[in-house]
Amino acid sequence: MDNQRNYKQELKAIMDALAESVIDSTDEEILEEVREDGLQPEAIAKQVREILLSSVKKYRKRNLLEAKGKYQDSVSKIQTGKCDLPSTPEECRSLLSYIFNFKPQIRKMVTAQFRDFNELSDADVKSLLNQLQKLGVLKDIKG
Amino acid sequence: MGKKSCSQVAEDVIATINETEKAIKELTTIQDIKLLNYADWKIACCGRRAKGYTGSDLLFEAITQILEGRRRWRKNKVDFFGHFRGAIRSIASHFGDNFDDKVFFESEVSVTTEKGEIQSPINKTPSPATNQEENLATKQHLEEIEKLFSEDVLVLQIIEGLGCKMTGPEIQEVLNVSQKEYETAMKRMRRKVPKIIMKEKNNG
Repeated sequence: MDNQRNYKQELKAIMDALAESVIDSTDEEILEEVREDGLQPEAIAKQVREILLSSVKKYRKRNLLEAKGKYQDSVSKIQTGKCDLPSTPEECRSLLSYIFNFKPQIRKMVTAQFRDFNELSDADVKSLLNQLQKLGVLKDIKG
Repeated sequence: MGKKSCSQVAEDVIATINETEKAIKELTTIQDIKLLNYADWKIACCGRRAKGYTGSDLLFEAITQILEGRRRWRKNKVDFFGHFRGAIRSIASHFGDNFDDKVFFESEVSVTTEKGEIQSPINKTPSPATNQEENLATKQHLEEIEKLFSEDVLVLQIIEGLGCKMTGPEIQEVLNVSQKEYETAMKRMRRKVPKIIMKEKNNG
């Protein structure tokens, strides 16, 4: 007869039922049991609270570290980003002209500083393209 | 059966981290104690599959999964206590999903001789007989529990009912006992059964 019994299942069923009975207990029963064990209810509650809130704290800290890591990655990319700009001044100027047509707001920003696109020297054009590259503007356009 | 209109289907409102933290702080002392006790019993259910986890570990795991969004708290559907309890139950039920009963940790099979030497069979492959030993230990547990309540007829009947996979309400109905009587009997079990479990743990 014994070999037909599932002892693990039976023991688990008892433990499960005892677990659920805790939830169904009255406040008085819970307090009584804690005191019978020689413990303080408030101390147990504090222990539980610390466990739960430590997880919240750890989670917030992890989120912060992840955000910080992403920020540092972005900064690093900007700082070390290699330029794969056209090699000749003419090509650079063509690219910049193309960018101005694609994103007129950038042209407005540039002409606020330089009165005319034609006033931009080759060096200015190269410098502008470098800056736009690092800010990721070129990614949209080249895409 | 008509379908509910969009306006009748309540959208899930997922609690934020701040709201979850607030809910934790608003748990009562009784709720805190219940959660820990509940987690302890759920770990006891797992046996070896718990892999050394305690009730506190289970609490930490449950709240972590809630915060990470793996078990989202839909605050318009259930209160925090209910949701947290459900998370504990669910996590415990999945403990050891990939657990191999035939695999034992070295600490579980090492023995200390009278001379204080630790003998480890780590180089030996665990035999099927080891699983039989675990079954025997479980059988002994059950027998000890039954012996503990040998003069408590109601508890023995409840144990038998649980062994037959009956639920609490079903047992109450079959035995024709009130919920109060059933809960009182369960309370008697809660006071005595831990001694058997702890004795087993201490014996390693």
